[in-house]
Amino acid sequence: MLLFMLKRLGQTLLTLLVLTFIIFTLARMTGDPTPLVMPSEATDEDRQFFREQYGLDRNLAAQYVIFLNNAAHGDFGVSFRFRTPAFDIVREAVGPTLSLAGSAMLLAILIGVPLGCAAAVRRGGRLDQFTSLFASLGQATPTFWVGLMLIVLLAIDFPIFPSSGYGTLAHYALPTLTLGFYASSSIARLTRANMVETLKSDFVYMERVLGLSGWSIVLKHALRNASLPIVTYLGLQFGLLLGGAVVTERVFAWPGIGQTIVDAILYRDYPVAQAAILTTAILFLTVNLAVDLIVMALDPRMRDA
Amino acid sequence: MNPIVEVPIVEVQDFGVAFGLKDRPLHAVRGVNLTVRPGEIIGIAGESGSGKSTLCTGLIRALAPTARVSGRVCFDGRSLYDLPMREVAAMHGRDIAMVLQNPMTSLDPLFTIGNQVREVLKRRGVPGAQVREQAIAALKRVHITAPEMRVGQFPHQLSGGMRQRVLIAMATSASPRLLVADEPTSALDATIQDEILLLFRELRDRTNAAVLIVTHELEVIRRVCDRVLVMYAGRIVEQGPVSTVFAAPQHPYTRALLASTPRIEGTEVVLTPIPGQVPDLRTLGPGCAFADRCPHVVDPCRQFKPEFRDLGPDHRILCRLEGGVQ
Repeated sequence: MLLFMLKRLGQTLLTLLVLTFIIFTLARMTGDPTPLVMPSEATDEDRQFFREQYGLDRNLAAQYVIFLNNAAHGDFGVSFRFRTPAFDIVREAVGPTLSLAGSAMLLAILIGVPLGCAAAVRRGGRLDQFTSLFASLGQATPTFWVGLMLIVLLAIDFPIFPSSGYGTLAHYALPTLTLGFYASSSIARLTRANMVETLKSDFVYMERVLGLSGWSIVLKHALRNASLPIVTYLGLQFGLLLGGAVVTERVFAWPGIGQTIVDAILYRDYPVAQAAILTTAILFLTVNLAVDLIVMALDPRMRDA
Repeated sequence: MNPIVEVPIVEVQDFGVAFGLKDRPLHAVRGVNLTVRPGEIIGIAGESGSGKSTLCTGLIRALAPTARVSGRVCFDGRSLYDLPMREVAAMHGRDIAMVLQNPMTSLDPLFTIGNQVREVLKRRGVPGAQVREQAIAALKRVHITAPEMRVGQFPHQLSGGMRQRVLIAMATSASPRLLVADEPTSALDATIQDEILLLFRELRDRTNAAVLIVTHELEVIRRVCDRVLVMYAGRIVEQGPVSTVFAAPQHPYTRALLASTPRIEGTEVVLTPIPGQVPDLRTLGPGCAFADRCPHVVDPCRQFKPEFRDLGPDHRILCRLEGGVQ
């Protein structure tokens, strides 16, 4: 158990190291930030001064070592664009992203898991057909379109919720619905598939002929067994919501990390891009570590392996 | 024990089970008439696909919902397929118990043995304060060593034989009146098999329950059963007391089946396989299903339905050959 944790931690650190290299290289492949940062009337000397000031004149290997060393001390440099520490900009964006991803996940689980269970128990019934439709729609509809339609319906035609921005609880409604709809459809489909399989297993049949109650069989035994792959998938889904909610953040002007990354790349703001991507990665890896721990808590076979 | 005065626990009349489409049904079991008395251990033998498992699960109304059942099954005087499912479910585990073939997959892998045994006991109405104690007692009854430690273990930490014992403990916790065991020893080592079979005898001796054991191993039947049913292509082709049938099998299929089990003659192991293969249940003709493989086949066998003939007390065969095989 302890050995597993140590091994897992080592893997995580190694992943992070590889990731820093990729981020660093990719950021520099976007081009020279100087023309974007300096005003057009700046002289060549001014531009050279900027490059020297930020160490951009050194060779890439040296830059990478400096970046790594500073990052290890929590220093991601200063934003080219805002002239403030890059990490402060990222830190401000992490809160909104985490809370939106969290609320969307929660909504998705609350809708997807019961729907998938009910569909699996009454296979071929009305609710099962509805679930299939719901899952297909949720996965096939682009999130930006869902977001825009929700704005038209619930912010303009019936002005119940604010259309965009961040601040109050009401601001969460539309982006949470948008992301939650998308995430719940795949969770419902996965839950259904896993429950159908589990309900066919020998131990469920055995429990039925032992006369256990249907509720206990479905909710205690079958759902817990079916939940193992679902929990793993939830971790991945959460990671996707962390980094991949850019479109939704755009639509709702949500000051999250996705927007921060896109802007930083557009402005070739290397320090912010690097800090933001690395932060997202650390969050993602942490979630996955948590998922592994949850699966181990649920499955005794994993603890002995 | 005198079986004649006892009221049967199960009575089956013209029982059949079909699967598949209505216009192209597959009759897995048909025309079964059977009486099971309390305290009897009955063995059901046959090749794979002979319908022995389907018959057993059908008898206790535990078939897949797609199965279509005909005929009548009475358990303790009540027609099982005329009762609401809710009442049948209440009988499952309490009056009717079942043990499955594969002990490796028949326990929930995520809960401890104790947790699962206790859940069954609670369902039987054992008061909360006694559940713990009774769970350990139930495990002791099936000769599990160190039950106090086992209750804290998970299924994957137990051997196959141990798991089958746990399942038997759970199935028999309420002293059922009928226990159906579907290939209970097929997945186990030969040395464990005897011990598990012994448990069924102990259960019978303790509670006078009727036990049905489905198996393709005739040795199992010879050792523990009182009566044997031989099934072929969904029908019972011979039934009778084990001593009679094993000493002088009358149906050609029973003979062939007994001859096909390896036995030692002198210094050699002899085995006579049955020629041909199990017929396709969809393309059965009007005659005897065994006709194509039968060494004694005569023309009428293929044209006319075989009839049951009584050969002695409790002994009957489904064959038209006069007096069975000579």
